Amino acid sequence: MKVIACYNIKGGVGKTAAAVNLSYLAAKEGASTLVWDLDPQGAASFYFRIKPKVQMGGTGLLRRKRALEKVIKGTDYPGLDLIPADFSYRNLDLILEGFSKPQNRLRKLLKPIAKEYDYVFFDCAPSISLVSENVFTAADIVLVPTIPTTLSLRTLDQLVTFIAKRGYGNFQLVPFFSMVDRRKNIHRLITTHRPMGLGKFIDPVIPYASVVEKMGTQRTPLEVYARSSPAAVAFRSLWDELKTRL
Amino acid sequence: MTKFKSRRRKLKEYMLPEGKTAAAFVRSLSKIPGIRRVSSNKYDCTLYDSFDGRAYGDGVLLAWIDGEGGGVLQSMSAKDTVLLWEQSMAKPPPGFGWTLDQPDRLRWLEKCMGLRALLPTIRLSMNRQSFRWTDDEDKTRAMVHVESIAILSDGDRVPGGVRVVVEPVRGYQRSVQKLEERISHEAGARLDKQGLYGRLMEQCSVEFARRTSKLDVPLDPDLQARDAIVEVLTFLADVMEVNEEGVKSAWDTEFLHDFRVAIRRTRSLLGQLKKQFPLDEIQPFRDEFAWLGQATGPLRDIDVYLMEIPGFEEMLPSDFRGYLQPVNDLLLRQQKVEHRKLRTVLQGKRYRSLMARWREYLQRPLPETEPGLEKDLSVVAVAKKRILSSYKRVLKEGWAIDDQSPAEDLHEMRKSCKKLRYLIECFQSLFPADQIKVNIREMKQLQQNLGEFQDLDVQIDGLIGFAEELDINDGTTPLTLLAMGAVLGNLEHRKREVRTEFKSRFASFSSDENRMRFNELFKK
Repeated sequence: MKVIACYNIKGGVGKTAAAVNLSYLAAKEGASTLVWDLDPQGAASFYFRIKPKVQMGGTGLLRRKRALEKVIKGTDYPGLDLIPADFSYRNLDLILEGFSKPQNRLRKLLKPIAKEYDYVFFDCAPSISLVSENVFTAADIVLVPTIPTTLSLRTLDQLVTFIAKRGYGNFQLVPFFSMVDRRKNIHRLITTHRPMGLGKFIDPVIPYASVVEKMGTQRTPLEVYARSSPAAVAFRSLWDELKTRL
Repeated sequence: MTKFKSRRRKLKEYMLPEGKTAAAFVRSLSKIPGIRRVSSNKYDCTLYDSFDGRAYGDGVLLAWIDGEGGGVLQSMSAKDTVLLWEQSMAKPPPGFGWTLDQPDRLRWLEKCMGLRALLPTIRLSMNRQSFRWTDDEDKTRAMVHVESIAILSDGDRVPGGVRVVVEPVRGYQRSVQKLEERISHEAGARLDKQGLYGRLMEQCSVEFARRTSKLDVPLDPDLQARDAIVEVLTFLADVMEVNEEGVKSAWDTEFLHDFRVAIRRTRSLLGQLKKQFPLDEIQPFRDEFAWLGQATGPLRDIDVYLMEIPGFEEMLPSDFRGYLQPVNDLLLRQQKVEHRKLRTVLQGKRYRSLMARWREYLQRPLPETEPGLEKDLSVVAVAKKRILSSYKRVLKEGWAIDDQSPAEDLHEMRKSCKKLRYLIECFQSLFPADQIKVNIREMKQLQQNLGEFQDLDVQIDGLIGFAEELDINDGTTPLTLLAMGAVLGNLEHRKREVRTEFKSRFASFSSDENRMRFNELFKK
């Protein structure tokens, strides 16, 4: 089982779109795939039309043994399941603090389902916290969608520094450019002159496109309703690239 | 090839009561809030298994669902309706020539099937309408498939009723229960715990059992010996006839193997139970079965050589692997020729007449009195007498063998052991199962040694023969001959080892303890 975390300290950068579209592509290839919507806003759950509610709440989920198996919901797509978001996830940090090795909790919770899934995608909430540290411990790849702007690069820099300081080195940090608007000079400039020292940006670039925003009304992955759109093509290339790293 | 993990899915199957049509059910289903038809299609489904139902015996059903440009192979539990795994494939299973994308599935299949091929067992034609059952977010909670079934048999379509398959989406089982209640209560559908495939295969299981060549005919100890033997001989005739089509069609090599074993057992019984049948009546059958055995021999030999080639390759240094390909090709060509010859034999008058006369003879009442015949002896008495006498012969032959004895002596002893084994198996139902098992196990160990010695002899002779037959102008290089030489060396070495092992195997077989066990079980 490989864990791919869609993560960024910043919000609104395309984490959920990446988690939903990439997990769909994985499942479509036949892989047994799970998305864990860790963001209390529940956008990934919304896209899959699954109510953002976990019966036992965040506390029960983190405390009970084999809790994940009980809350998994199938999506409408074969081979693709979801652990829904819950509003109580906003307190995950506080709940995690109650454990003796709090940064290992998510990894431990995933163990019982490791036999069942080929890929697990985390759709993370924007922040840098104990939950983030759990994500770094559990993930094989931390995928960082980054809008090519100065502020986004600054938060990426913060992330790289944080990881280095805390010594989290068991995963690959994979930034990629997201929501790229070719009409904007700064986007063109940054994507052509990629910043150094912030991890190696991978090639596929996800364009800014209204078709991606439509996921909110379609409530399905892009591949289902706009397969030939440039954004869908870009997500396919991104997935192909990621597979070479797994 | 990408290997992905299996996803088990529990499906619920319902059968509509007889007379209730799919259309009527769909009308009542459509009244349930959240139900929406999503597709309607026809598809063919074929249930596959070996000729003797090995997958079913292992609790697994294999269903091939035809689709565009290929299909899906589904594996389901035979006792309930759990979908164990499914895999898209370009072609339906043509015997062994197909691949499964997960090593654990392939390992299971290879272990389960052994040398048997997967054959189409039941063909179905389904007319399917699929529905989604959604919640207020338009999220699917379950899929419902309504299928009108036709069983395809010899060009006919036999109506098989209407089944309703409910496929709950994970995490929605509790709400789906409500849907199921409506399906069963309001529409009158009956829960089918075993499922359609399981039920159909269960019906085949009687036929699967009939197709076994395992000689375990339950005999009544009160029967007169002749009548009991006729039962066994009739079973063996059944085995021959059951396997005949498979031999002719060459579905797999086990058909011929079972066919030949039945001939050998028949011949062996007729040879050893001379006092139960008038010799002038059974001698022509003994001759004819000897002819049939000989007619089937060459093809079986080639089948065995072909099975041994991978083992020969293993004996070679890695650089030499592949050089035996011309031998393999030669054998494949010969296999075709010999198969054609055997098919002609099995379609011929002589074979047809033999089987018809044999059947007629087995059904004919035997003469009341016949000088020299032990007609009134019970089957238990004859079994004990024959087994003990055959056992003593094996012991005598074994004791006479020393390090200087020629190979022929071991071959003779192998034949005597076979005869003894056939007798024990033929009459095993008359003795306590646990005790007979021990005796058979002891026999097997000795037979294994003698059998391997004989096999090695045949393989060595065969390889020398192939070397002479290989056409040097037809892609055979000296390296092939060199590789064959290396294999020969290995076989000779192993033959010496096996010859040495004989002593200890026979010592165990003829031990006081074992002899006592034999005598105890089969004494008068």
